[in-house]
Amino acid sequence: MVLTALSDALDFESSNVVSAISSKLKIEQERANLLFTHLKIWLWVCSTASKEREAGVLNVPKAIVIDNRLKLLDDAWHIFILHTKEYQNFCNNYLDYFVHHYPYPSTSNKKISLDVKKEQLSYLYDKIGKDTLLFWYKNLNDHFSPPNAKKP
Amino acid sequence: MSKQPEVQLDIVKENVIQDIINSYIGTHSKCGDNDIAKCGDDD
Repeated sequence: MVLTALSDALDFESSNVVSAISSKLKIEQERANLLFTHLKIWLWVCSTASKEREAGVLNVPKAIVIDNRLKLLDDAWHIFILHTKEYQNFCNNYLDYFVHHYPYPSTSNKKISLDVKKEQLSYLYDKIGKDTLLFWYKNLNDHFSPPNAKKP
Repeated sequence: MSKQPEVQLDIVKENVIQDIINSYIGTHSKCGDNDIAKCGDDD
């Protein structure tokens, strides 16, 4: 199993994707760039979990789930995926793993249990640390919402 | 006597996770509601 360093994933840059995030989510370019950084961290966690799962590492969640707390990451992910060539380049050359996106149907009644949620939070804590985890689950949507956008 | 560093880290981690879980309570975004997407096994 070859794990990619987070710093390698963060080296990827795309002004096209950042501009699209800025335009479609109606946030300033600087803020869009920061959101894109968080998306790269998210995708790095997804790729790392997939590699570890495939290698039989214990305590790896079966899936990493986006709920409405992380909705902006999903919105940015959709925009990134539309840039297929850049998304493929990022996955293949910066993550060494193609991260697929599995949407839940809007009609789905599937709800993850508290234990599964805690397992994901525990895994994320170990990978991204306390501060980023708290930011994602407590401040992400507010921080990037256009009407009440706060300064970093 | 102070606790071992690893134990202290586990306590901090547990508190952070519980803090996030608690933050779902009393909001429209209940834990496990409105799951939107995932990466990982597709089943």
